[in-house]
Amino acid sequence: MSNNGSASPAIVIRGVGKEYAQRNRKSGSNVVLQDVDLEIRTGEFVSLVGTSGCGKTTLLRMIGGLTAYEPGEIYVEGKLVRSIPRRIGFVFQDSALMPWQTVWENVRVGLNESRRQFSRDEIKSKVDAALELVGLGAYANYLPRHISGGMQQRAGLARALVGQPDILLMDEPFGALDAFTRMRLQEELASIVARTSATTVFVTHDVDEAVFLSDRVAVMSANPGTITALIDIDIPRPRLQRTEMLGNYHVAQLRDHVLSLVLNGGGTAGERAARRDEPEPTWSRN
Amino acid sequence: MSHDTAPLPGTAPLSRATAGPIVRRRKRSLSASGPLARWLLPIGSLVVFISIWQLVGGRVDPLLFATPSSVVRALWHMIDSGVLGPAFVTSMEDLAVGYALAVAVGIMVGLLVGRSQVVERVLNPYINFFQATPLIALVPLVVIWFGIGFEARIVVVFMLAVWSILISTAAGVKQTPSSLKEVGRVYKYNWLQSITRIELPNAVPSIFAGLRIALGKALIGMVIAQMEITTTGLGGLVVNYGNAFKTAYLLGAIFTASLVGVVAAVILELIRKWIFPWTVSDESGARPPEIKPGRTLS
Repeated sequence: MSNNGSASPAIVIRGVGKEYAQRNRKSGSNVVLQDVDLEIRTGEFVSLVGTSGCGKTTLLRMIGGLTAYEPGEIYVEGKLVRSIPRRIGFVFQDSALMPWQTVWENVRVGLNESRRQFSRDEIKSKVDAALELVGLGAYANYLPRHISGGMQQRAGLARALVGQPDILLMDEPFGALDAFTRMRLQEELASIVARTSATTVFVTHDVDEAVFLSDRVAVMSANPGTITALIDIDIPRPRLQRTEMLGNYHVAQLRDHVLSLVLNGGGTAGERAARRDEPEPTWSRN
Repeated sequence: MSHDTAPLPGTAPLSRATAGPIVRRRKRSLSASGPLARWLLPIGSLVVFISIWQLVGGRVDPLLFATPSSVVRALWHMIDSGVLGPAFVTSMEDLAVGYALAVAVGIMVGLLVGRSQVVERVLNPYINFFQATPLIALVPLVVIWFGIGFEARIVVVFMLAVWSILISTAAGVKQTPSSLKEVGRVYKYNWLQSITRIELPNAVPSIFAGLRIALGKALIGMVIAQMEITTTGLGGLVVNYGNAFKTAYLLGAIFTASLVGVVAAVILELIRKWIFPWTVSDESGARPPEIKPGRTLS
């Protein structure tokens, strides 16, 4: 699914930064993001990984046009992002379903963006197909609070996918789920994303999850938030089972590498500069 | 757990002493929440109260204190002689029109206040003023402006009811979770869609809480208007019977007014359950209901 030869990248991030003004004048402004550069190819699955406060969610929201950035440029499908781009799907951390709508009605919200007016039958078949895709066909007429947290996230995913988006942005979608549900949903997401051709940006603090799902992992660090490493995850697809991969030596190596980058990514800029002089491990494709 | 095998000295008596009453108390509370007790207790309480009232009332001057049986007789006489019917209709008209206006204006302005910080800052002084003012003191002013007829009574009902609706609507709209607003942004809702599909539905539980409070206030406004502005309706009956020292009739009119309030509150609750089923909290262990698509908003 990683079409490395693809001509124009789906998402281009160039020199992007953001700072929040602080009330305390002595400490100056708070730099959330600084000098972020990233190109994401069409159809690629890229995870943004890092500790809390590294700005990974902020970066995702910038791509989705939900948060303003200054300075820098972000292009989605060749267009400069100044408002919310068309044909994107966004999966929120807390599923963000309307409590007053059934699962079916919540998924239909995802079709609102399209300027094309769909007929009743088209809407029905699209929403039903999206619900089938995430395995919620039997729960179409339930209210969100009557289904489990994992099912709510599935519904949120169906809402993001129903409009067949070019770009799928996911903000820690499995962060609040228990370990088993999380593992099952990761496997299903892998197979769902394989069937759609959406370019996906996935924010997580779970390194296993990032390695399992991604074509590339962008490691971010805080103060100021920036991308410190980009690691190719050259595990062949289809990757169907988390458990199969747990015992794989190469997967374990990649995972440990990403984890060490995340854990050592903090500290001052000087420390990071010193670290960059170290020779990279030979098995890294960085 | 282990105090019957090898208790530490001093701990066993303590645990035994606490374990006993807890179990017994739980049993008692279980029976108090049973279906039999749920109906038996309030009905029994009413029967006892009315019996005592009847017994005491029979021994006191009927001018000061009417018995339940005399109130029932008075009510029957009021219905029979055609006094209560028209009064009831007049009262319901005043209440319904004034309350409906308050609902329409309260929800609309509340929506604006909840959506826009500018509107909120502009209107806040007035909202605070009217919240703090004993509005009944404005009745003479209402008479100066609107005369002594239907309009003035409507204005009083409206004036008392509108503020709770406005404030609770604004609060409900303001509390819309930002993630839901962002869903609206991502999927390109226009302003009308974000009001009707996100902000208003989100405010529904809060609006209904305000509607219930407003109903009580509207009822007060209705009775006061009919006592102070035009002597008519149920409030007018209260004044007339009070002046004539007809205590039983007076109480009959008052009970009719409170019956109106109770019935209106029940209707409000039914509307909430029928049109907005998602606001109804589930009984534990109940099977999750399937919602028919047509019965929810949008």
